[in-house]
Amino acid sequence: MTLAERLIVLFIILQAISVAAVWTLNATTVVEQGGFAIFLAINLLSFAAVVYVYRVTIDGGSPRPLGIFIYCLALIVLIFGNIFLA
Amino acid sequence: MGNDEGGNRREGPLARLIGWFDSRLGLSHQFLRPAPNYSLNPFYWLGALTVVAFVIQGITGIILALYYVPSPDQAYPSTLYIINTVSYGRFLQTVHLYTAYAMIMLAFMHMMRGYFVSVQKKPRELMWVVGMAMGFVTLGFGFTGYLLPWTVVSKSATDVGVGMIKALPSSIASFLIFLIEGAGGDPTELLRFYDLHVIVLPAALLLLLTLKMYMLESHGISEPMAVAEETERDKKLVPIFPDVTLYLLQLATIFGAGMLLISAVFPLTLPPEFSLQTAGQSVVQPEWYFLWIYQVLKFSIFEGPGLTYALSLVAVIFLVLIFLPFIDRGATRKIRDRPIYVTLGAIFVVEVVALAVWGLLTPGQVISSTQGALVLGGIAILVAGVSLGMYRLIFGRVLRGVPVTKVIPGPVRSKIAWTSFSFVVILITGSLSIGTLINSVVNLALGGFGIALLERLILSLFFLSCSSIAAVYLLYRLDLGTGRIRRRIKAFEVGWRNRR
Repeated sequence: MTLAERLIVLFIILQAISVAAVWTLNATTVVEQGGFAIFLAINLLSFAAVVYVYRVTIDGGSPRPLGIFIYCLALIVLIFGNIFLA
Repeated sequence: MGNDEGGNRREGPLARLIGWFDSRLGLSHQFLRPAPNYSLNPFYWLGALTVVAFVIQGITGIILALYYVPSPDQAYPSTLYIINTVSYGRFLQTVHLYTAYAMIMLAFMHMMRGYFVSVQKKPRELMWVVGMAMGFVTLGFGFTGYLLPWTVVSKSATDVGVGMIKALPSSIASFLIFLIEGAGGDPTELLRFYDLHVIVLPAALLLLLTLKMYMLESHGISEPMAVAEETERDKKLVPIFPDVTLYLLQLATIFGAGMLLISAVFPLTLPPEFSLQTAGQSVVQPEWYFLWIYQVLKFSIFEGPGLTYALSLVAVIFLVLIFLPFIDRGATRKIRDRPIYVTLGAIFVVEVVALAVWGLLTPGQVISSTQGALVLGGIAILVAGVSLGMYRLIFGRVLRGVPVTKVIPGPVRSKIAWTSFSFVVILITGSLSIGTLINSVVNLALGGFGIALLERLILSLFFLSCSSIAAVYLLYRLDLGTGRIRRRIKAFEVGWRNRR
């Protein structure tokens, strides 16, 4: 597996976890609706990262380390933000 | 149609008119052509992100419409029901609100970017006019949607807005009042606003969007100035699918994630319901995107009969923006060749931001005309001075006719972008600080000592010092490349020594 393929697998796993987490929430309380929004944001951002890696690799290039770093940093901020909100 | 002396076919006025529209509307061009490589840049997709925001608005709005009841006695309770009882109701309402804010902000950024890089030049004049119409429809969404929860803040602000319409010439005012208010008081007004918000404005926006997309497909994406000088053969093209589609998908999902994060951190809380008692206790304040107009209306000179003049002034600004392609008719699109228009644009942006912030800090206060003139005039002079000074510094060689290389290499272009960004940040901070400083000094002189005023004075002095230091540092960094300032200082020192 290339680094790009490993990254895509990682982001897809994160998407699956966020979707599973969304189903555990109570949809009427303020805090859990906030959690729902954050999990959805994690899902979308992971998807954006997958699209980025795919778009770059189909043209024969490789993803920029800075780009991947920013995506990972944003995802970590979201995950810890969710814990903070909860 | 006939022949001229050279034997060429001469077209009649009707054929020329059809030809003019055809060259602008692009009735005879192909669709979904490959896009140029330079368009894979977020600044080229501000309009597309505005459409993404509109789509999110549509989806959340349709779900909210299932529960919302557009009548004065049910509007507030049904909104409360959505927020407190409906599953994900608060989330949907919050996303709907913040995406509306984002849509207006993105539309403004899209317009100003277009202004500065001069996209409105031939053959995209009608695209600009249609885009401006879309901007007004977007503001219409904000104005009509604000009333719907029937809170004390939204109803009072809408009443002020409707009151402003009544100051327009009677024929226009009566038509607009009939359109948005009808003759049935509050129930009709709310129902009209709801109809405008969910039927008329979306239909109008979709129609205008179709027209604009059609023209965009015909003319293609506007080229950056450096690329415009290359030949068609040199421009690298990328296919719409998958490259451009995936790029847009990536931007749209990042934008969606950002909206969700903001919604999670700042969930919506509803102000009290509108009633005559609550209306008497609240200070009228419109939403942030109308604050700059509201702040102008608060100047003492525009009170009472002067309101018509204030509205005329705002109307003139909007008319200039709409008909900009027919006013700025110069052939060149380069920023370096348009110092006056770029400076005017910078003044407009800084004044709008300064007025909005000023309006936020002074809710319900009448502003003396002298203070208004001082702050607005001061900001205009400062921005014009800094902008023209930067022109001298950056494009001085060009303005004196010294040739420069045609295509700027990548790293230099990146440095110019960073310099411009720093310049804009310094400019905005400096202007706001000067505005607040003048405001605080005038208030201290007129109204006496106050801790809050002193705090504002100290903060504005602090930010002004930071901006000045940053400006000096930026000039120093720029001078490292050219050495112009150091040479001038040295020449000045030599001249001074010789004189002594």
